[in-house]
Amino acid sequence: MKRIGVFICHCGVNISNTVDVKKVVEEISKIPSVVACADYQYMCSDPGQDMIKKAIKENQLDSVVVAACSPRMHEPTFRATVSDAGMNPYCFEMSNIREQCSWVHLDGEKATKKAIDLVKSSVARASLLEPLVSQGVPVVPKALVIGGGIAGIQTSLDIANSGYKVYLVEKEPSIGGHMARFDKTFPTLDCAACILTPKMVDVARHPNIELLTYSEVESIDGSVGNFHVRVKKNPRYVDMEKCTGCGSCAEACRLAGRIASEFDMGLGKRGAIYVPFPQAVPLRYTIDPEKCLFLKHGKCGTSPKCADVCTTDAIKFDDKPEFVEFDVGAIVVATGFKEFSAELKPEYCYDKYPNVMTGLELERIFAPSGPTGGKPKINGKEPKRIVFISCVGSRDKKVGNAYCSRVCCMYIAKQAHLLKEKIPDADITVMYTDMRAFGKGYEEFYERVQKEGIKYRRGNAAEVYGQDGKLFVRAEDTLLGEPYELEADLVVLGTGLTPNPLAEGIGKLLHLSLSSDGFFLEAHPKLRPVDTVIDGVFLAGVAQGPKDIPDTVAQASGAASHVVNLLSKDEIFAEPTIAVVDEDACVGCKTCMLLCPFEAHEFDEEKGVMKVNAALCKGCGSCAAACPSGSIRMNHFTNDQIIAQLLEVL
Amino acid sequence: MGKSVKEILIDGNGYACIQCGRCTGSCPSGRECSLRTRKLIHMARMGMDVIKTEELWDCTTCFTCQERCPKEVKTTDMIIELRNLAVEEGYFPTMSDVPKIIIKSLYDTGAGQPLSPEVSKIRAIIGLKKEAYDVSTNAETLKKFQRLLDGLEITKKGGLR
Repeated sequence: MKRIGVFICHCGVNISNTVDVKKVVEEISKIPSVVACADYQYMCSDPGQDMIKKAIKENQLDSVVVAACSPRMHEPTFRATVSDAGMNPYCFEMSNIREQCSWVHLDGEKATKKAIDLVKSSVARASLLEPLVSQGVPVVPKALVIGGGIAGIQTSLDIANSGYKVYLVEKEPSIGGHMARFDKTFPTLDCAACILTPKMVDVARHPNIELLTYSEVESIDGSVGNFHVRVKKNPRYVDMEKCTGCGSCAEACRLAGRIASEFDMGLGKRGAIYVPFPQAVPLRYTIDPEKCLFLKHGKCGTSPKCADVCTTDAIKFDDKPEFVEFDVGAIVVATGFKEFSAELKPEYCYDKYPNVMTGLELERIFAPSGPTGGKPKINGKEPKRIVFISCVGSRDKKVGNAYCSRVCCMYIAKQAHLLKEKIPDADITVMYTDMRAFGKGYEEFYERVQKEGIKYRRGNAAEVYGQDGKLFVRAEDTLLGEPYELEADLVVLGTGLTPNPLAEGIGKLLHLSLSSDGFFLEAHPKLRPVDTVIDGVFLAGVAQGPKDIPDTVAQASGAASHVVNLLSKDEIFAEPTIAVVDEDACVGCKTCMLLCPFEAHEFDEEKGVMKVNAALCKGCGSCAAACPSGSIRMNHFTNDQIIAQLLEVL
Repeated sequence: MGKSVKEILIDGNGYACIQCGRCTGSCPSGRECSLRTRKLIHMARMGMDVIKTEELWDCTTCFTCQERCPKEVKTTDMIIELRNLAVEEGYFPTMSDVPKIIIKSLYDTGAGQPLSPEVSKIRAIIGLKKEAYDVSTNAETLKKFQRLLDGLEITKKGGLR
């Protein structure tokens, strides 16, 4: 018979106020296998833990049961305690008599009876527990960062500066992301390009960073410490080695100035061969295969002009996709966001009138490198009456976005300020639902903008309509309780942030979960905001949820520190509480393979049986429950152990 | 028995309202009269006498506010239910005779808005019977219907008899 020690915790008064702890000790002591049983006010405290260690040695215990709070709280604590005393940590069993007993019951007598039953069932399970040993897996000291916006840039630089190799994959021809589109940043009014481009250049010349732009992650196999990644480099039709970025090809292109520029939100024009913006990194040209006459029709006048003018012979019309494969130990997902599609709110007439524009479009109008050279002009004229509408696509269940986008209140304040600066006699009104100026220096900035003469009217805009060539906005001033309307030369929609649809594929490759807002789900909203439930995969920036630049950079550095923490280990130890296949009983039906959410099951062609990848298995038990031949055993949760536990409470 | 104001608020998702005012800003009636949809929701939530307000009866139930509400508050549905409650409690608008006229018409003809001669003409043109088939076409049915209305004390509450 196994020798078991049982320790009952009072949890201050959390348990002992409802459960008669002495009575539990008395009853449990009667079980023949229980050779030591005691109670203590705080079992998790140092004296409490010492009590357990002493009892293990004095009574030569085989297993220990602690009846206290939830195992999510203190199982790791007590596993370490028994380990210290020389016991295998998997011979420890926890009984939850707080969350599942004292906290949820009022009747002390019944609660005590339930606590006794719960502890008895734990003792039954403890007598069947077996020692388990974790397997060490070596770690590849490299990282993959997906997404080259400010989040991906910061994470990559931090990891690379710690001495580890980083592969940074970006789908666009240049890194920089949305931040590269901004003119100035709130609330300090730093020029976005001035603070971003030096970091972009640092990425390009960092010896530890391999930059893969115009590329997409095709597949990711393996698990924490050993991911195998395959990246597709899309053909640029320009030789990256030969191109000097001089730009004479773009000037010569027959379609120069005739294609809507994605970077300028369609407001500016580019040619078929282009760089997204002048400070692009890498500063190498790309041919748009959807637009280029030669690539589409095989003919461009008598000969393609870009190739004619290129002095380094860099144009490569026969360019093909290339595939790069490498191994990494950790992955950071920094896939950013997509601006809310304003046409989904038809009452704001975004589709109908060119002087209704989104916040991101106005950023390009402000930018000195933008389509109007930084001068705010609408149809060639300076707008004098300007209305900002907040919460467009945010806090709006009609379009499926219940969340607040967190940046719009402040970017509207910034844009209103910039417009007032450029057009001092402009009449600017901000129609807002609630004002959310929560960051450092934000409230002060909001106050400054109001003092500059920007009118903040509480109550969100109901609709925009045009009449006789004029544009009007209708709203209620909710402080007055009166509806009103304003004529406007320019209406700016404070469009929110939505999940990047292109990140969906990445999420599937990595088996990431989404939170109800559609952004990637972190492992814990407060205490593990940069981790995911998949070991070795981390989140940075808006991919995890709307946030501004300071928060994005902070989270990116947080993700980098977790990556470095992981990569600095020679070996990592996976939990041994996983599925094990009995090769003699397995018939190779593959039911488990279809069910496994982590793709941990592989079919062994030679033996005709399944095998489990210990590093991928999370021990969820789906396979064991479904196996028709009962040949999958869950370590630490065997049928015998569970049945013994159940029989005690039935 | 109908719903209480609280039940109306719960069923109409009224507690989700963030008082943004898109309802009032969208309201075609509100531009011409004192109806402030947002204010009605606010009054209901604050336990004020919303069913005694005259504005409750100014809504044309065009549903624009409900269509546009970002928090899926069923503003128009709630107004209709608040009116039901108002009638049940004996509060009829004093500023407007329209509800009384409608009830009288309903009692006399079985239709809240009986067919006008113009509509009858159009019906004839498109090949429909001049009279629509409803309770008013059969005297006996109409009598039963009136008994039903009497039982519900609607005419009494409306101050008609």
